[in-house]
Amino acid sequence: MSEKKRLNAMMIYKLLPQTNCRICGEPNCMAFAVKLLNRSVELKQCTPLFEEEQYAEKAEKLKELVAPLEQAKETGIILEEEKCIGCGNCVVCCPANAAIAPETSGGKGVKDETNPDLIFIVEKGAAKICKLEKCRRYEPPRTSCRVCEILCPTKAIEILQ
Amino acid sequence: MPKEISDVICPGCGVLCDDIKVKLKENTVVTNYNACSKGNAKFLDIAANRILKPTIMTDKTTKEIDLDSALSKTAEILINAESPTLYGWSATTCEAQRLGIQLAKELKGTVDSTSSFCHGVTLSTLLECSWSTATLGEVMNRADVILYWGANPIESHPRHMSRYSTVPRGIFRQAGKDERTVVVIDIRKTRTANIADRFLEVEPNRDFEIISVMRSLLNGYRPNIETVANVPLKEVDRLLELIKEANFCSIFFGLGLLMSAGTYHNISSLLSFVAELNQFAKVVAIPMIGHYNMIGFNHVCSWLTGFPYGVDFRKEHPMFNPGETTIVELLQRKEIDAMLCIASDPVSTLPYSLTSYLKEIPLITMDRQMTPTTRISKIVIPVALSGIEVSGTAYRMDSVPLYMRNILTPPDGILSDEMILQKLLELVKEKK
Repeated sequence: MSEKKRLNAMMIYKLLPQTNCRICGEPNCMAFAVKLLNRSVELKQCTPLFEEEQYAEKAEKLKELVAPLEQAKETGIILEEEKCIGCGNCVVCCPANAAIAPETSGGKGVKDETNPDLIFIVEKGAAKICKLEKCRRYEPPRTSCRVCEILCPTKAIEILQ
Repeated sequence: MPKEISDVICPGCGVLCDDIKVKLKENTVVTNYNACSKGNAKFLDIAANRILKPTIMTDKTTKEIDLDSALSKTAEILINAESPTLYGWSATTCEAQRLGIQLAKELKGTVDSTSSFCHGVTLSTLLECSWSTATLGEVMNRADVILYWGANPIESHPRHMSRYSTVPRGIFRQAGKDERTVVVIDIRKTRTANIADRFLEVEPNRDFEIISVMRSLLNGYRPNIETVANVPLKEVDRLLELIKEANFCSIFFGLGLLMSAGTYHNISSLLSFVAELNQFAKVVAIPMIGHYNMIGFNHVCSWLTGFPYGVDFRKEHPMFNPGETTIVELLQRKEIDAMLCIASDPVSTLPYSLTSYLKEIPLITMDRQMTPTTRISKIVIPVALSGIEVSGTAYRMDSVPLYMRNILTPPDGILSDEMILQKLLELVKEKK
């Protein structure tokens, strides 16, 4: 099974108009691509991409490509469910998750899936992030914890800067 | 039927997780929590390619028949055969396996499971050496060094690392992964190696040399070489030191070690090495059993016949001779003239040079779904899904027996493996 390449600025740049028109407010398309990756700008700011017919296909592809970024919100964590094999490493290793659902601390699966504070749970064979805000990177003390990313064997979890 | 069931046992792989939560609607699983992608497929894909009625094939045309006729014809074929064999067994309950072995004895045939070319071989090395082992729970609570040799648990047993061996915080390992060192020995950088602390890349087919070198080093003899199997001797030294200094080291070995050059010599050498290591540290070895009840058959067969698999009842007393009484050789030498295949799909898993012979003999298959084996079978008997539609015992990879309670009921008219075998046993005793 081949691993998908991690999203990078070059992949985004290739799908932009590459005209350096500056309508988005950035000096050139490459700068826009980099800022899009760290979510300081939004894709819709590139109005020519969506208004002109010639870019319609690129616009569709780009929307798909950056969709996970848009889900990343405050913590900057994305979990690509197609890459996930449900190994459960994230559910068990996350210290915050272990505090919220103590049974996962010792390796067992989540007992109560309706717990509103749950961060990770494996459903239908793939992990998903529920309450991103409970992650240690977001809640005080805002540590730069990366355990879930380090222990994810398929690189489905990505922590964005 | 309740809507939500917790602590369901998953018959997906040898880890036999016992903490699955399922949500049901009528007689189907709507969703499940905690099961990995392998377990999830087991719970959700039940209806796919399902066989609902027994069939018989005569002159290349297949037609449906009733169960009693199918069983009667099956009993007739097996009794009239001079050398029938009963094969498969690894994906059904111990209760069914027990009946199967009795049936083989009654028929004066042979019985073998898929373990004869898999981890059954590991168990037969016990006839040569001792085996220091532990349960998965002990590994979780105590182990601080984990070594995966020729095994890739992330892909074969996805929850192995998170449920038991690497990530959980155990009683004496409260820091979880931070207190454990994970080493992987493999021929390529697998997904497990991606998250391991150390990775030794070995040249294929040369694991026996590394085990021999480690045993020499342990016993104070230093061989005059720079590398062994492409691994620098320094790395081997470091690994040996790590294991010797460990509190509790667990070695998980898989088919990478068992099925490369040396086969069972690799395992008997490894187990002897583990026994020698116990002079320095607590070291255990656990085989990475694939099927959810493969080792169960080996246990059941051992206590019924004294042998773990490949038992030959054709003479007056049971015989065991791997290479003679095992399925691969029986097919190769065309020494069988009828086969009952249960809980297995040999046409998919064994080489064509062996399975092409199955077209020439009457083959009866008991399976839940259509497979290449059912396609060429003379008689196909549909059965319920063991562990999910039928209750029964299964042995986890560390030989802990667990009782699986069914969460669904099979479709009308479809019986369990155990019930079918019970009926066959009665028919055979009557007709003989």
